[in-house]
Amino acid sequence: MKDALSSSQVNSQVLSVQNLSEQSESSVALAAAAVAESAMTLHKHVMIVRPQSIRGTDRLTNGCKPDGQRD
Amino acid sequence: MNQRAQTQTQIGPTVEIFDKIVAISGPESSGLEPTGFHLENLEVAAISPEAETALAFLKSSATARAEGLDEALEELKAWNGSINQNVKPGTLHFGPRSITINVTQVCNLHCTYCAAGGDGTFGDPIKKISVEKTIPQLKAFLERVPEGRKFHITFLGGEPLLYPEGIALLAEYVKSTAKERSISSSFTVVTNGTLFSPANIELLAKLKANLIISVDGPPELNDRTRPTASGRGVTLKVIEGIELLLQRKSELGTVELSGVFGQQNQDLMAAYEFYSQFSVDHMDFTYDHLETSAEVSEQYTARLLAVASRAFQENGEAGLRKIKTFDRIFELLDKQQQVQNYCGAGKSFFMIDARNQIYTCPWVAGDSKEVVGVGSELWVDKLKAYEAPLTELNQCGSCWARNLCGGGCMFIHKNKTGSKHKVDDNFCNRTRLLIAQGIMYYKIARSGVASAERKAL
Repeated sequence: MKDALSSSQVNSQVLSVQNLSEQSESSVALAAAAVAESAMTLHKHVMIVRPQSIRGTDRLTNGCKPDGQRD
Repeated sequence: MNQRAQTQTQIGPTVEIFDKIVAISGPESSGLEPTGFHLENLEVAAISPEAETALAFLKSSATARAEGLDEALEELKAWNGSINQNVKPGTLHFGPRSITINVTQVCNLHCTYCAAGGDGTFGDPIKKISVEKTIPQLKAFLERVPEGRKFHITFLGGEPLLYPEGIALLAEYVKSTAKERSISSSFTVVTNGTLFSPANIELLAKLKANLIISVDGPPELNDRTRPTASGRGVTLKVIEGIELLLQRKSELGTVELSGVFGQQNQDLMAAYEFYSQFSVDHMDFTYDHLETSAEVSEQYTARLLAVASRAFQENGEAGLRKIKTFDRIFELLDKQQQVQNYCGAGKSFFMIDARNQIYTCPWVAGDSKEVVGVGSELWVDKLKAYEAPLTELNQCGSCWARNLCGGGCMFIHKNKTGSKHKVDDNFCNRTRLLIAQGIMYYKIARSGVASAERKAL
């Protein structure tokens, strides 16, 4: 979080916070697109961290706490 | 930008809100940098101390500008006004996808906090479900599931493993019927862990069942809260059963240890240490749904935060995410998935009692006013009350955590306030604090902050 950067550098910086080798190309592309779309310099005072694709395990429904998002 | 008045703290992180931006700060002594959260975009950010000051400045509606904050103010405003196209709305349409079945309504334990009539019977003389009556019900539910989708059954009780034959027959029916229509079926068994015989473990492996094992901690705790009817402790038997079960872990789904905490048991750390001796996927520190004391709720929250801190320090994200509450927060933030419904009750989720009556939630089983169908019939008129998103029904519009909470548990709300849609403040305070702390951990985990900051939590 130092100086103001260009939008491409913003992408680079936001993405660099995570080990890219763990990420799918699509999630990287989505994250980059999200930052590019925002057209903001959110890197000096507001640096958004990039979400990571979730693990392969499925979230389960507990007997008393059914998950509303489950399909 | 509308200013929202909402701050919180006593324990855990403090929160300041300006419109859609939330600044979350750890205790001053922690030395942690503040974390930003966009409540609509579900974005988490490292924010500078200047941005935190600027946010407080925005909240104050002051006209003068503090020196050096212009840039931070502009960034905050830009973030506040941005729209993340990747966020998935938490819309949940009607369509049963997850069914809990009371295969028994009898139990070999007599837990102090049992909400099923104190003995697993729900006060009903019927002991087990009729497979013959349940199969047509499941057929009707399965017919509503579109091809290629998922369908989940949870076997509950009473103690479901008192009737393994019923589980086997119902699961076999669901598996074969679902397969014909390319529906993916899965199963969970919620058990007290006292009946892990070789035959029962064989059945669970055959179903590749997920296990939720109810155990409140080490013998000195669990024997007090979860004894037999005669008062005998069973924890050693449960430990033996878990060890036997875990020998076949690779053939099972996920295995979770789940305890109930409230007035009767507040030693979450002892439970954490107990759970940690087993190679399980998750541990769940469930708050007693019937507990209404604000003081107990605060103590529980502080203790769960302490457990989380230890888990994160010792094993990082993997350790933290063994705790189900935090796993959930990470999952939603990673998926960028809003939640409009804390649970799918009356929409995607239903439960069937041993009389084949249908309810929206296991907590209301046995309450005739809550029946929403019988046999293969769902009563549409009664289900209309469940159509709207819970965050809307519960008027969560001013809560910053609404899109990660989903409105909370209707049963807990009603138990405290008398109405499913009038929220229990204790629930909300607990949930907000845990979400706030979860967001702070998420920022650290996803931004690769040095272990020094991790330790400070």
